[in-house]
Amino acid sequence: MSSLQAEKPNLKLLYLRLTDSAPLIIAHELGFFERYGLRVELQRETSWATLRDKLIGGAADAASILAPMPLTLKQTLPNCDEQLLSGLILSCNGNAITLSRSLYEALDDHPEGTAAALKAHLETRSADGKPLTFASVYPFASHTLQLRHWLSSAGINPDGDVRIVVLPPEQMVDHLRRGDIDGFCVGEPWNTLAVQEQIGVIATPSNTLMPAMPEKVLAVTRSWHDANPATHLALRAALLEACAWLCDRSQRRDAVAILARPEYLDLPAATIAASLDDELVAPDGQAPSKNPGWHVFANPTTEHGRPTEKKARELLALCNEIAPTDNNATELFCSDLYQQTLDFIRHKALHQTRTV
Amino acid sequence: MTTPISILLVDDQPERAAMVGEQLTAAGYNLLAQLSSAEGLLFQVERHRPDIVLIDIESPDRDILESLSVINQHNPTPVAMFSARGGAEFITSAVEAGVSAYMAEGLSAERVAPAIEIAMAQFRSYQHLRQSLQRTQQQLDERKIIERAKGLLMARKNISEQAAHQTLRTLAMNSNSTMRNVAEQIVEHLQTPAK
Repeated sequence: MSSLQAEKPNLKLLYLRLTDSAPLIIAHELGFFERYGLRVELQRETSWATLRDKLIGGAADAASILAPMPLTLKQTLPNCDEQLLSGLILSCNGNAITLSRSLYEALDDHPEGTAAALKAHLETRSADGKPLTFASVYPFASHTLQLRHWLSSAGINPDGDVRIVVLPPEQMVDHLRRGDIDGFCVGEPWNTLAVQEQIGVIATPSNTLMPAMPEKVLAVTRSWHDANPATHLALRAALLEACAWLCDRSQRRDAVAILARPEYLDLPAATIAASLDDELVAPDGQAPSKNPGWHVFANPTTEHGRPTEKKARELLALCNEIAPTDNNATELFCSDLYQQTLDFIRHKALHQTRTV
Repeated sequence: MTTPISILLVDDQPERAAMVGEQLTAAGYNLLAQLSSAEGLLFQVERHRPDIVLIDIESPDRDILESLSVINQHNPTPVAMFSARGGAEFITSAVEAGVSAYMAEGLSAERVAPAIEIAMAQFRSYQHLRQSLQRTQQQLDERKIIERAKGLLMARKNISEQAAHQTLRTLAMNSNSTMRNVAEQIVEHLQTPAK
């Protein structure tokens, strides 16, 4: 089987304006989808909840979504019989926690870091004032987990000492500018943009908090997978190739120019370039610092792209701190589908070498 | 009779909101409030404790409703919902109509579905209304440009209205194009002053 008969060659894929939507955009622009016989239309969405509902409702075939999303669907859509499953983790890490400049400037230097400084600051605030508000992008997102972990690590109670709300990624910077929120945890390039527009300071990138945390996965509904197994395989193969392409750092410069375009992220290339170059931008024109592994994309030579039950279990254990989760959901991370993709790609490569 | 289901409606399209609100009230639902944006939505939800919150699926404001489960895990009010009454079909038609809904804990999907169906129907007819308005506008524009082209032809070629109309029609037929396209070309060509 070197070429696939896709049941459904014309597909619509959903994504948000984020740097780690790159695998979809690169696969589209560089012809990886076509190589596997797929014609793909990409559709940009604003909010994770809307994207989720469109995917469940069949308005699209597949999407790049938050890794915990398929695992916690029962909690967010309690009456929904449909399931989301994934056979490919597209990327790990890619987020950061950013504080508003005014909050950051109100903090005193603390030897144990920004979170500890925030704890000290909270103790001096009057109890009757408006609580500090932080934003995440979805209730069950790595962002919420990272934010809660960061707060808890300094002894701040995420459920009582601060308020956590949900906002779409692309609205974070505007809400921070308006003072509606005091900080956020969001995917790139929105942290970099907040710093470059001088309204925020990055407190910590997500990868130093929780290394190699699965971030975005390719998801389809179970009924879609059952009806289109070969199309799904072709889709995973094309996207895994795009992820591997993104692992080659010399190629990321080309990716930046594509991502920056109006139809995709619609942001300055310099804003998108920072995290893809592993650069943590600093306020007031100070030199950036290095943050290795800010985006870790899937690669056939590593295990980052493999959705295992163990990874699902670890994510669920963390989500369980927010609300009780369903432990049977671990089967929605399909390691066997990932293995199938690897076998298929290798077989294809072998076949091509032979015919040459 | 049991107390009617209470509803909070969030819609930035005032005409559509009025349509939905009217139908819901007529069907006996208790419309608590109609908001044009999610500003203060959390406060409104805490104050009114609605059974259902209805909101445009494309509204980024709806994410604030997703917050409720994070803010307070014991919050008795809205849990995110997309009912599977009749399986995925219900979700599919809700997505197509552009309605998303959140319901309070303890309510059954069967009980809230009729209210959501009313909203879906109103969202759809609003959509049709807008499309037909657009069509009417296009027809008006088309008539205008054709009249203008005829006027220019009459003035420049010194021909009758009927002859101008005939000219346009022949040109359209010969070039396998529409009267509108031909009219646009003529206007563009003739309105530039002769050199």
